Amino acid sequence: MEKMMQNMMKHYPMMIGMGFMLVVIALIVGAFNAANAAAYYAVDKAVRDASLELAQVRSGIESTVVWLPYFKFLGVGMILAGITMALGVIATGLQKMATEVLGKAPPKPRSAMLMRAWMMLGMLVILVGFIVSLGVAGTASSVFSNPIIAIDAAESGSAILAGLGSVHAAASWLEAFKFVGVGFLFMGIINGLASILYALNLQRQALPQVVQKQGAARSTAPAMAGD
Amino acid sequence: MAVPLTKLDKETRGLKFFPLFTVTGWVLIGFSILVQALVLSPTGAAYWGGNPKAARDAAASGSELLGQLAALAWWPRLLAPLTFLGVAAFMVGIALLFSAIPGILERRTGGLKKAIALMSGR
Repeated sequence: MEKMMQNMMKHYPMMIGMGFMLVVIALIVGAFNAANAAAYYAVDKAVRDASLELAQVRSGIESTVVWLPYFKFLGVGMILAGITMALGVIATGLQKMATEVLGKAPPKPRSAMLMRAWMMLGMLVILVGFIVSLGVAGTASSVFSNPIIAIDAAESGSAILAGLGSVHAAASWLEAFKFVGVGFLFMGIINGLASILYALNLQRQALPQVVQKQGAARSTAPAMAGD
Repeated sequence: MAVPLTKLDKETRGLKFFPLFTVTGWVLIGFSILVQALVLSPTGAAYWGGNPKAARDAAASGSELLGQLAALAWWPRLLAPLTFLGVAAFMVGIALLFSAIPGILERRTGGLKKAIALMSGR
């Protein structure tokens, strides 16, 4: 398990590359959505509000506005996870170096385990947020595929108004997924850095003992040669 | 050879203050999430889902509907910068941790110099 985790950590450039690609894709989709919105609002209000065809355009615009930020955060989350993995590779390298010099494995800090746990938890929260946002985007799409005059005429208790209410309500609580996920990923980075600082401090403190051991070995070697 | 290291050496200012920024980050993000989940979400559902457009447009000054609309306009504008302040606090904490590395490396260099001198018998 430990070996598998360490091997996974080495793939951090791929994780960062994939995250960056997602952010670039989000930019392209955002640009298309902006162009659609510009075209939609260029039509006069009376036609816009009554047209079923334009309602489909609006449905696309509104649903993209719901899911796209979570897709962007998925990309940013993958980049942050990649940074955590890179820190993990450095910490593991320092740990291996200390093992070789000291002759046995030094104590492993708890932060090394926590780093991976926070990172995976952060990615999970962001991924769940993205999946839920796709569901909300579906609701937004079905609500806004009705012409504006139909949405405006919807009575209390109607499906359109219930859908509109759920889209607006979800827009508030969905935010939690983004920022809690990013918070967990930052905790992963903090623990990764703490592991590196721990390893560096350990090496500094172990150095005099290594030198003493070397000195003792050297002083006994000539005596043994003399026997 | 067991090296007694139970926690990080808190030798630099950065290592002393980074938890403060991390906690600040969680407090700000947590507050924002609580308001969004407990205030904004039910208000949004009630305002948009419970009232037809005619009722929303006809709401008089001081009515509950306009109060809900004011809350829906006020909180998001306040919470967005607050949440980003939380994210920034996390980043400052990370920067403080990074800033501890040069000091540790410097002291390690001093230790290495002494060790090399001892090992070469100078």
